Amino acid sequence: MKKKRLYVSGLWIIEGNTKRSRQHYLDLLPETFKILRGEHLVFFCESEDIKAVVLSLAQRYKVSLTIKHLPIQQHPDYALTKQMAGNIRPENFKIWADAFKGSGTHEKALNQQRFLQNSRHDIYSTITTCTLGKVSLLNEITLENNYAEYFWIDASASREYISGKMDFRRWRLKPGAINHRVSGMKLFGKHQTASGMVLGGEPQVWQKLHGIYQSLLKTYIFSRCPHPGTDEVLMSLIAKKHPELFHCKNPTRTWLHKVIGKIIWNLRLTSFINRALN
Amino acid sequence: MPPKRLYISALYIVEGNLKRSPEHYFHHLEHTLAMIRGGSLMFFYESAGILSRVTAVATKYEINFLPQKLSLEDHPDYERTQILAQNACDFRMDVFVDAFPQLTSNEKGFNQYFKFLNRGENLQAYGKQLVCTIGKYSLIKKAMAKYDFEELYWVDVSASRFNHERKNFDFSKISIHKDAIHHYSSSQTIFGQTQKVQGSVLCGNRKAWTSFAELFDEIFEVYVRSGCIYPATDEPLMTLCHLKKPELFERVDLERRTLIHKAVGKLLSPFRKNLLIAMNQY
Repeated sequence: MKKKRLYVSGLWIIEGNTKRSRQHYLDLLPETFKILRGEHLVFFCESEDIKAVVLSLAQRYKVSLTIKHLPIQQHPDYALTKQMAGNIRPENFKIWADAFKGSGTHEKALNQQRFLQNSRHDIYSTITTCTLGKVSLLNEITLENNYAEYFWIDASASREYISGKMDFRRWRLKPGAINHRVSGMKLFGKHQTASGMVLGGEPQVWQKLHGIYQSLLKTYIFSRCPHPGTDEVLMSLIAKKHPELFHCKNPTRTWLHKVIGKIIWNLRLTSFINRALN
Repeated sequence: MPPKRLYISALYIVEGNLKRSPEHYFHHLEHTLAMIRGGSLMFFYESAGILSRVTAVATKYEINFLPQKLSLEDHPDYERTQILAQNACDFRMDVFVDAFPQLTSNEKGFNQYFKFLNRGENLQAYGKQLVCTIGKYSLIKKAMAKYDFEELYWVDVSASRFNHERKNFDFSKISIHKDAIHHYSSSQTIFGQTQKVQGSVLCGNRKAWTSFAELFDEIFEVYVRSGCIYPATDEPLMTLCHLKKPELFERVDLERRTLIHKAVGKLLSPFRKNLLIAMNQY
């Protein structure tokens, strides 16, 4: 009989990462392991000190842990993300990132600009391998194991509030889809489909997503797209063509929203309410 | 007393213009000039054919017509604009436009790159069109140097296409009440943020235009030197100007936020997020 659920995570400390410090991850790891108390977890990492930390945390929180040694240069997406980063130059959109700074934009391309400008370019591409590469790791794990459900969880997932509908440990997965949270970041003003922090699905869904994801990644590189590409960007692009592959666990637009939206539209109140809400 | 207002416009028919056909401009020209009946118009042109057609319409509407020949290659912004057009060729967002085709209408960069620059294949014509849109501030400077009108109104020859579509659409009735560039709003976006200024009609007194021209020139130069690949026209550049010096701009089609709006807004504020979701704007 298949075991129920396997969590997959990973952590590579990239020297020169201006997005997050080593301490940021070390501070959040204990809470993430606490959340996973009693669960099965595969953890990808490279350095011996991170291995020691996660082993000790697994013992403390009774997490059934398997460590996978994976030097970042041997990550299946390392070469591809290096190639992709070659098209993403800091000067591409810097002027707009500076201009809209502080205006409340959560625009992905402009947000990524901070890391692009402050990191050496090879560091930026290595960080991208970590974020963008989770789907390949998940795919690999689903082929090696026999669980009914696989969840990606960021090592720093405990940075976000977990309760109620946000408590992924209690999620009943919608079959045939990657179950996810909504993302706060935007692509040209529209919210990205999924947050990449916690993603759950059946093995066949991960494998299907992996095929589409890899194909899109290659197209992204081949077309020399200058927009910073992360897992969330690729999933948003995929969701437009394969909406059935994604299921948001905190749906933002319920039937009640739709009814109210229809009423506002029919009464021609959109402009008035927009002005009222300023 | 001499008239104090000068309208300024230009028309260059660029071969390979994927944005508009020549007939589009001639169709709207008639209505635009009708709106400035009896006024003074400085008009920049390149070909004799354009001059004769516009002269005929200007005569019909009793306009004090002040034509000025200027070839595009001699335009002071020609060279910098070609660099901008060349940089825009790197805006290869094909994977995005496959997923979000509506971006080619809403988002300025997509609109320029996919519709007019045609993914870099229409560079020559696009570069010339860009001179026409970006270079209007330089034409205003020329007008200020040549004539001593106090108020200068830039008007696209096709400005009448917005008639009855925006508030205070009749630009001839806009009065300049402060030292600022008076403008309409735009519905297009840049990285999802609404552009601050629409470029079809821009009016201001000499003081405002002098300050604006200096700022615009500086922003234009910075943009070109930055190597930014986001396709820019006058509107994104003016948006950058607006972000830097908002006091230099005055919107003329503002839907005022009245006391009722404020009161309703206060009542609705706890439901703000849900209302935006309901209206599909979150």
